[in-house]
Amino acid sequence: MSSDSAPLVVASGRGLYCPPGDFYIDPQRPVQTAVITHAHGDHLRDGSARYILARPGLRIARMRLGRRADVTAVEYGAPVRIGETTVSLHPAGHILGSAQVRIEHGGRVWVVSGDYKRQPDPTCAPFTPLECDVFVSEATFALPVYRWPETAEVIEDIVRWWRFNRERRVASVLFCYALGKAQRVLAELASFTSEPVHVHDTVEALVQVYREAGVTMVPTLRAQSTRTADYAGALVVAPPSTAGTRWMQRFGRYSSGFCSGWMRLRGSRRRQSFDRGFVISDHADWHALLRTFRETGARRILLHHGHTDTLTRLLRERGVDVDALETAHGALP
Amino acid sequence: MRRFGELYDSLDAGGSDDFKLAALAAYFGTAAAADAAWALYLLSGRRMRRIVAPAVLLDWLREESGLPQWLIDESRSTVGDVAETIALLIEPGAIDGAALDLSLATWIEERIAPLRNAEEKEQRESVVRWWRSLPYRECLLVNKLLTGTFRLEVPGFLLTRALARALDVPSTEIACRLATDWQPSETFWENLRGGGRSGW
Ligand SMILES: [Zn+2]
Ligand SMILES: [Zn+2]
Repeated sequence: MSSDSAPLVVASGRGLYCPPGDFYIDPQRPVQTAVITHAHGDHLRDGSARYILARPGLRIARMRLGRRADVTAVEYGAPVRIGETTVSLHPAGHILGSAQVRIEHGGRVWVVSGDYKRQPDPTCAPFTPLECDVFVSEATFALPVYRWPETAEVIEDIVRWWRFNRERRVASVLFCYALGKAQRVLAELASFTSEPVHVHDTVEALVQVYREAGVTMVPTLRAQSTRTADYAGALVVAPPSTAGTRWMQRFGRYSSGFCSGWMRLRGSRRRQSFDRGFVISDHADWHALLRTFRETGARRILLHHGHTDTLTRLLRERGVDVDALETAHGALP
Repeated sequence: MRRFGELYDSLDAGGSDDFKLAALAAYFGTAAAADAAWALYLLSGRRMRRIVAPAVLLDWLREESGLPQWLIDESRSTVGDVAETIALLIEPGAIDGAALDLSLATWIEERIAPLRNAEEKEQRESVVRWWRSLPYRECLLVNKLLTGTFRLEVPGFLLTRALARALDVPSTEIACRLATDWQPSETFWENLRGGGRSGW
């Protein structure tokens, strides 16, 4: 294999691997050098000898990896030499500290997107399209039925639901992934209200990190009280893992809502036991995926992490050089 | 249509009866008589007649969107419902706030029903205009009404309890009145509302 055609990223049993740099991106198992796109559990796993990630995500990564892990935090855009490659991390707009990985080697540039979105998000730096030869993209919501509504409309909907429950003296429990989604919703709510929102401890720990990073959110209160009366008419933000657990008993009678891109389809809403589904996603929708591919100017697209068949077929019909890059990536938040 | 859409969102999920009951009672307690009558008609499982076949709507969608047939087919099999598939796939245009605020009864009686006797060209012009000027949820509802596929049966006991609460009429009388063959109209609703007082 000649060096000018050899891939800069391949799928391996441990995740995405860069041969000339001898490093992995978001490895599934312990490796020597791990470049991390963001701190969600399916991307950041402990046990690797050395981690490289974007500085705004350092505190969150430390919460998972502990103080002793060997972690190098780099500024967005700053080049780092790894093996024979030059690597830089660039905002992905997914959560605080999320990054695309730009790899340059032998005059060629590959970019691995990590999880990303194109909608505005007050909690993190916006995705920047990078010119590249090959763009390796996530494809979580790669079906044309996934078209996200304006965030402000969804937040207004959440506020109306909260007001409705308040009138009947019932708590509104909004389930959001604890890292990223919860803080984004709390930040978006600040345009509508300055009333405090009760949050689960896991959410609050991350809210503190976001506040220290300068993100403005509504005031938060830890939902520690076990007296139902303290929550009458309140809004509570909790991780989905608490649904149906004993922790919920403190709210007495309550209404439940779930924030997720999967709530776009009504069948998914009916299959889940939430009163309301709110369509808020930290991933690119179908239209944002297509727009991003155009903006990178990439001559080849590689898809991984999600539903790749439909998008592959459509792009091929349009004459785009595209393939699926299979990894062992599991279910995602 | 917007208010009925909000109610629809509260009912079309796997949530609690408590929440659905509260949403129904709030709607029936405040909706205009003609809207309340239509909402009750639809939610109690009564069907409107089909104005346009789902397959025809899908043809219009393909021609309007330029999407390949296989992609529409695949989307439809993922979603499982034609009305919803169209509402998700159509490129939204500028929202017509006035059309959105028209009542449920006006939409059904003055916009959708008159299309029954129209030429296909006229039907298509109206429907495509609605697709492009309504938000996703109301677009979905219009498609369901057009194709006679509105199916969101609320359990009878929830409906009667919500009506009893909203109208302050004993639920036994509500149930009795609903068991008859009735047509959605203001008069029907006024009679239902007056049920307790007329001693009927
Ligand atoms: Zn993620
Ligand atoms: Zn992910």
